[in-house]
Amino acid sequence: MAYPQLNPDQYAVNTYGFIPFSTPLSSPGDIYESPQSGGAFAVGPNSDIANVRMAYFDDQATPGFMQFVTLSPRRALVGTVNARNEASYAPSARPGKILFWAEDIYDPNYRPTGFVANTDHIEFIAPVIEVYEYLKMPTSLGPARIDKEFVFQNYNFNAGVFYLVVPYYGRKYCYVNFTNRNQTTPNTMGIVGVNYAITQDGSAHPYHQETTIRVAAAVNSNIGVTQIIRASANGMFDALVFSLTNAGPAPLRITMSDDPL
Amino acid sequence: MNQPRPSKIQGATPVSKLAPTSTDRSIAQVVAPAVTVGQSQVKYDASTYLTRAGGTAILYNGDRTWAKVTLTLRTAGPVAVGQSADLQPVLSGKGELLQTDVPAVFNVAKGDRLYIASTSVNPVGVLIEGYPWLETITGLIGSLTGVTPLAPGKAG
Repeated sequence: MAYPQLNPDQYAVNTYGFIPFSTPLSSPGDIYESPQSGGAFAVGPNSDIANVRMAYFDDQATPGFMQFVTLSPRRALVGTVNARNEASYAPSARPGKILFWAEDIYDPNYRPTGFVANTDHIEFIAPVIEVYEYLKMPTSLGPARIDKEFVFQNYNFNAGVFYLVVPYYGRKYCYVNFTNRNQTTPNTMGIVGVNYAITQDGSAHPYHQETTIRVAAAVNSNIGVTQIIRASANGMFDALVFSLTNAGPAPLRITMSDDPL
Repeated sequence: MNQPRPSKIQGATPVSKLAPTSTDRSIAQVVAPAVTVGQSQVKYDASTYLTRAGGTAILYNGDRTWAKVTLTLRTAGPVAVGQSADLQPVLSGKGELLQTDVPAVFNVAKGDRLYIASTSVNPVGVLIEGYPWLETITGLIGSLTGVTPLAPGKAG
């Protein structure tokens, strides 16, 4: 485990209705495990990761006895899945617990095309993976994810270009509102949608795919920019990359939704 | 010369809660109603039992004459309950699998034990209610059907 995992048994002992597995991803390989059987499984409301892979013990899934299912904002799993702690996966001989991990790709080593290592800066909003395991079958499941909002105002750099990477997995609509409140200097702002790939980030041409949504252009003092990003018009991305050339102040509000508004 | 001194402990002759039984197999008999009812057989007992992964544990040890044991699983389980001392593997069918939030009722006679097993930690609501009158009814039915009840202390 790359992070301290909560104890699912404690939620059962305290007779909670669900176990909220939630953490910012520190690496794409983070895996949760649950020794508790569940009546339903769903992507949590605060999750940035859209597709969550889940594995559970299945006698008929030879040779490894591991069965897989994918949870997404549009598809929860309602039905009892037993945590078979008495059984073992093969060939690892590990207990047949229920496992969760992000199916979406996350690459904290991603660098945008044109990134200058010595002068430019990049910051990632680490995507949160959140899965709810219900300890009994719920009578209903609400919409999976909230409309998430990110708000920024000042940016910690003093030279080059500043890149801000915001998770956007599975989102279908985004409202971006940017205003340059630096009274003396224009701020050159651009937006790129990126889809991560399994690649060598150190190579000259990594496989990540970038789609320009807003060509970087100067925003003068006290001028606001509004950008609407729609899945039908712009596409769907793993992350949005905002590039800036001034530390601010420059309020940036990003509101994203699963609804194709 | 020392004389034997009477015991300071006064009271009635101790009466066993266990009614007598006959060893004569040629005569049909039922157990006569017990003359006393222990207080523990009247009181109810409500608790929450937490299962653990592996093994089989005694949930109720049959210390009452008759008892109604109601079990309610609070989580997804699986939890098996039965009279076998080894219910593992839990999903083998050796015991009854409890359903979440569905009370399961067992009428347990004295001496019969109720065992529980699980593969994980699960809270199980346990309500034990005594049936002190059930023994009396059993004896009366035996009388009405012509089967001779054995009087307490007259075990054949």
